Amino acid sequence: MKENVVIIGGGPSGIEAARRIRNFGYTPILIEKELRLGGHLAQWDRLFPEGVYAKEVLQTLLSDMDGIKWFTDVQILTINRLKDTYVIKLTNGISVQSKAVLITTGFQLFQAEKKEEYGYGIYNHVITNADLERYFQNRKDSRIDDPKVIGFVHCVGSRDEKAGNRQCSKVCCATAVKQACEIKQLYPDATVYCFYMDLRMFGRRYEDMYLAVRQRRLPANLPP
Amino acid sequence: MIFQGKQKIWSDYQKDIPDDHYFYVRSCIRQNFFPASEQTFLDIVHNRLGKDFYETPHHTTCGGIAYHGEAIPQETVMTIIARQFALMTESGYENYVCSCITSFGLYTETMDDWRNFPELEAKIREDLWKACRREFKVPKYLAHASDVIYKFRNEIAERAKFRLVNKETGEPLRVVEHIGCHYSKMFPSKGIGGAEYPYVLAGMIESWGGEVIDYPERRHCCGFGFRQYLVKANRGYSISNTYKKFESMEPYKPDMIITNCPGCPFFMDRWQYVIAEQTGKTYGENGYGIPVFTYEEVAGLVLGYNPWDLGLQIHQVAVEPLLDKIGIPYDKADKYKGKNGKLLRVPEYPMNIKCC
Repeated sequence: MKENVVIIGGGPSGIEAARRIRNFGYTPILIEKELRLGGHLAQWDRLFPEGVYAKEVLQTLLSDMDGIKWFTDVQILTINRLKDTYVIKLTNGISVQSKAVLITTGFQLFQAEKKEEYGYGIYNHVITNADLERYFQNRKDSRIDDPKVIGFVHCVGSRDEKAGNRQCSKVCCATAVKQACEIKQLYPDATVYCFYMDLRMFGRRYEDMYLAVRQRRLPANLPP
Repeated sequence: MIFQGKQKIWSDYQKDIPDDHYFYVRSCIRQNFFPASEQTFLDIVHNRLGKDFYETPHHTTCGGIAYHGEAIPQETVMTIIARQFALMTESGYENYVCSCITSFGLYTETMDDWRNFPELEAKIREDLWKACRREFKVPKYLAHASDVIYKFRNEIAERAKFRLVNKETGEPLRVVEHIGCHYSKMFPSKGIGGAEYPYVLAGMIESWGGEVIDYPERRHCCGFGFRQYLVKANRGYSISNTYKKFESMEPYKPDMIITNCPGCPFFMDRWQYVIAEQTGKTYGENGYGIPVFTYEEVAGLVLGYNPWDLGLQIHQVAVEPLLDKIGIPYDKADKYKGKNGKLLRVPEYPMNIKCC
């Protein structure tokens, strides 16, 4: 009988880890607190820098789940370490014995309302990157009403000692530039501004995306 | 505006304000700028609300202007503050209330520093003892005088003879609330409502019938900024700040401005005259400018005090159009009479901003 490996968190990291662990001959068991697998990826519309649809990436990941078990809408109650195994008790009443436990719980989005000066949750037309991704997915958000001027404020909650985050998020510059392109596609007459401390384009082809935008052309690889 | 969002922030930033028994210290510059405000405050708390407020003629400046003007070091200002606390302790009080926002910020900063660096407090205690043989207790509660009026705003509303309402239309007056920078920008948790959406004046305005205006530069400095004005060569920065604020609030057509800082009402009032002289532009209705008040003056107005007893005749921007709008009676002939009934000198009229 194959040994279990419990993976806490059913986002893309957890799913990809499960596939790899399965290939090593174990039985991965994914534990996901949400109703479905996918994590933040399922909430996103398109991904930088190429503009690939997040759902396509997720579908690719989920297309090869043979030999992987998963529980959704479930949380961990307790983890007990025995001599050479772990016993994980779940909120659905099931207990799992596992050779190892892998934590792939991902990240929590910064709570934008903590930066009170931007008025998220106070002013009608202040939204976050995540809100905008949901809008791109379903085109429904009462806060977005044929905007004429749009500003992206970078680094909110990042590189910010008062927010307890001295580090750069490494993703919000690329996200904001990508979204600036997308919203410009949706509202060609709108003027889009990006307000930043520095632009930090980590990763392959991120800089290409930025340079294309600087030259006032949308990256060709962003699908309409 | 998402009102629930503001309510959540307001509920996050509340502070304990004692019910009674306060040691009160005045501001240095308000005595000259708006001399009736503190007297009105004391009259309201003593005679209208029946509260115990004690003040002593032995208290001095907190040292804030010199400190923020970089003329004295922190240890000096802390020793001055320690002496003020000693006066409170000797008088048998533990609730400290100051009239000045700069003082409030400085007391808050000092008490916070002492909490974090007890050795600094020990040194200041030693310095105070060497200087004047006094000892002190740190106040149990520190409040700004506007916190006190905020706490009793509904009691004042119950006793009000007038409300911040246009008597002709029945519509609430549109009011800009301007908070002194040192009230909560340094220590948001010490101010009612925090730093970004302070509620201390907004609460008064709502209780007294007005409507608070939100505008882009609502948290911008009034223009005083200490070194912006105290250093004469920097005064262009001072008026530029004020100009920026008025340009920002103008589209929202405010009827009046309420402030809780010594410098803010002075600069927002006087610089309107200078802007009008320099550019010909005025911001209020019919060329009069937007009247600027201290919260004590507004409390006095709604309670039915005589506007000239509140010192409104020394404002640069004429207050009469607003008094007429609310329906507050006043005698024009008394405007420039002293307390003894004798006519004081009548000021010259400015060129561009209309006065009554």
